[in-house]
Amino acid sequence: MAKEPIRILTKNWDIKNSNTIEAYIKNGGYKALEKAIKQMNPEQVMDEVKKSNLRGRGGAGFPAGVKWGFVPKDSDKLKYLCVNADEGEPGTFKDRYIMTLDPHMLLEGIAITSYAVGISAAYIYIRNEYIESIAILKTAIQEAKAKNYLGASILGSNFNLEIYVHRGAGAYIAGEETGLIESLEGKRAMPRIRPPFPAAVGVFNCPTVVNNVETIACVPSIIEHGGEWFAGIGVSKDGGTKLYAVSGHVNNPGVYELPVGTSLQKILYEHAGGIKGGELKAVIPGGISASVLAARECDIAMDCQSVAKAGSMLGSAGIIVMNNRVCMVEALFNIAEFYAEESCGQCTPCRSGSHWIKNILERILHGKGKTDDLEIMLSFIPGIMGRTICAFGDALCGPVQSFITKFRDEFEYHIIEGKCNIRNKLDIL
Amino acid sequence: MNEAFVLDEELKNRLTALTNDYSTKLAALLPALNIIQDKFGFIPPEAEQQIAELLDIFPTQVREVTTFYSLFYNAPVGHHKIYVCYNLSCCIEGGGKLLHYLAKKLRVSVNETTRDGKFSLYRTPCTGACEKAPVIIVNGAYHYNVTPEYIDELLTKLG
Ligand SMILES: Cc1cc2nc3c(=O)[nH]c(=O)nc-3n(C[C@H](O)[C@H](O)[C@H](O)COP(=O)(O)O)c2cc1C
Ligand code: FES
Repeated sequence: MAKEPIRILTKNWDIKNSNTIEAYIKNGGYKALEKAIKQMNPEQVMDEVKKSNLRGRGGAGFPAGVKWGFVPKDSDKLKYLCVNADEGEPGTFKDRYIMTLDPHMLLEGIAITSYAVGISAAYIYIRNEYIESIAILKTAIQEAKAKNYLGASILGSNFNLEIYVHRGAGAYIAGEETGLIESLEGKRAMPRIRPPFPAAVGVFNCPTVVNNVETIACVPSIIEHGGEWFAGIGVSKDGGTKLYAVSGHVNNPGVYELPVGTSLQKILYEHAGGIKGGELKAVIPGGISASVLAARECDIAMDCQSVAKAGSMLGSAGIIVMNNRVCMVEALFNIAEFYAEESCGQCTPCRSGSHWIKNILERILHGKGKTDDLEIMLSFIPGIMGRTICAFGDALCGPVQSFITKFRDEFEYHIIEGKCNIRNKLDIL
Repeated sequence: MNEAFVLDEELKNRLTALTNDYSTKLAALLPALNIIQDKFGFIPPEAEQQIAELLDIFPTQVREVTTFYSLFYNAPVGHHKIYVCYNLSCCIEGGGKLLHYLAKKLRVSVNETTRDGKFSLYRTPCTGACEKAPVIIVNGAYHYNVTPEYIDELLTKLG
């Protein structure tokens, strides 16, 4: 008999009016918050999250409970939570589902997190385009306040919390946690040098926790069922379920909730309906910042460690699938162009390097590539990798290195023949 | 827009109220600019000045921000703003072709406005809806699985 699929984040998505507080409460919502406030002290809540092995879902995969633990307990400054709802990583579209279909799960998660860390103000930093999510979240906040799940003296305790929705203005780099903080403060979203880390000095110079929407949305279930239960669902050191967002050449693109560590094959063929329009050629497993995997490398488990072992990263788990009709030179050019346009411009290696790479790829696509172009592009990598204030520079290097080394013959064909041997052009020049 | 731009009392109050949500006035800048832009379609230079006064900051601080974020405009743009997603998931489903199609139909290049001021055409990085590629955003509304035929209809509707 097939095992019941485990649904933690998506459990309410099929319910009618799932984004209303009535529907949420009817399905057991806000019980975890009540349990946390009435039966547990903040340390116990934090311990439960540590035990759960919940890793950040925004890209870096840092253990959430450990991050919360870095916030100094003796500081007399206010503490803040910034929920990262910027969802800018190309190929990622899972947080939007949480916010539109189950905003109260996120709000309950915010409330429990804030209780655990001693936070009284939380900002949801959300990308400009998500106006539907913004409206839904604002309504949900009002609903939760009216029932005293937010606001002053929550559920009769001395815990107070205000949640604000803060809308961005179009900048990928505002999703980087210190870029986000700068942006929230009303400045250009230029990432900060660390240390100090946001847990010590974050927004308004105060200790700040930055977590992704999906990370926070896992918290109510952890408190309701216990950290061990959550840890038992995923793989060792990486607990729970994950929202895998699959797009590109599959028959059923969409968001699939599966235990962390589910095999990529299973996600692609059993859930996303298999490859569309041709044979599988390549997969980007974690948003375009993740190194590309060739078809032969796709037999892997989708958890942080396994994907890292395969030379890529789980990242945001935005899975982009390409069939054999996609030209890898075009695909990499498309990616490089994104980085060239979105670099914030602070660090020379990233600002200039991204443009150099884009320009070289552009000339290759125009049939004007030079024989040493590939070596030139690869030679930039040691100058960029690890030499920038934030991980944007590294994010650019992974795709460049992996596309060129794994599909070298295609790049060489372009350079030598001055044209493409794939007929289905993306038409992106 | 020929008359000098003036923030009326109602708007001023709305913008001032924003500062209650933050521990610095500067932090209300993005929300304030978003309100102005939603209302006027762009950020008039006089508005930058007046917002700066309201928030007790230098006008240059406002300009720094409006020039950094891709969705703020310092000059008037078309009545209808069309954004075509050009990231990978959309492009492998025809996003690039859609952009060319629109440019040809509207007879503009990317980042340009039609002569009659009706349409502005932009490319946008991933809009977070890759499962319904290709995606375009028109005046804030998402359109999914867009085809050239769909664009024909849409442009007719928008007139
Ligand atoms: C260039 C860049 C862009 C990022 N964009 C996002 C984003 O859009 N959303 C997000 O949650 N994290 C993003 N991150 C990761 C954040 O910096 C940070 O690690 C994350 O929000 C922490 O939350 P988590 O621990 O819950 O994952 C980005 C990182 C980089 C380097
Ligand atoms: S690539 Fe177009 S919506 Fe993501």
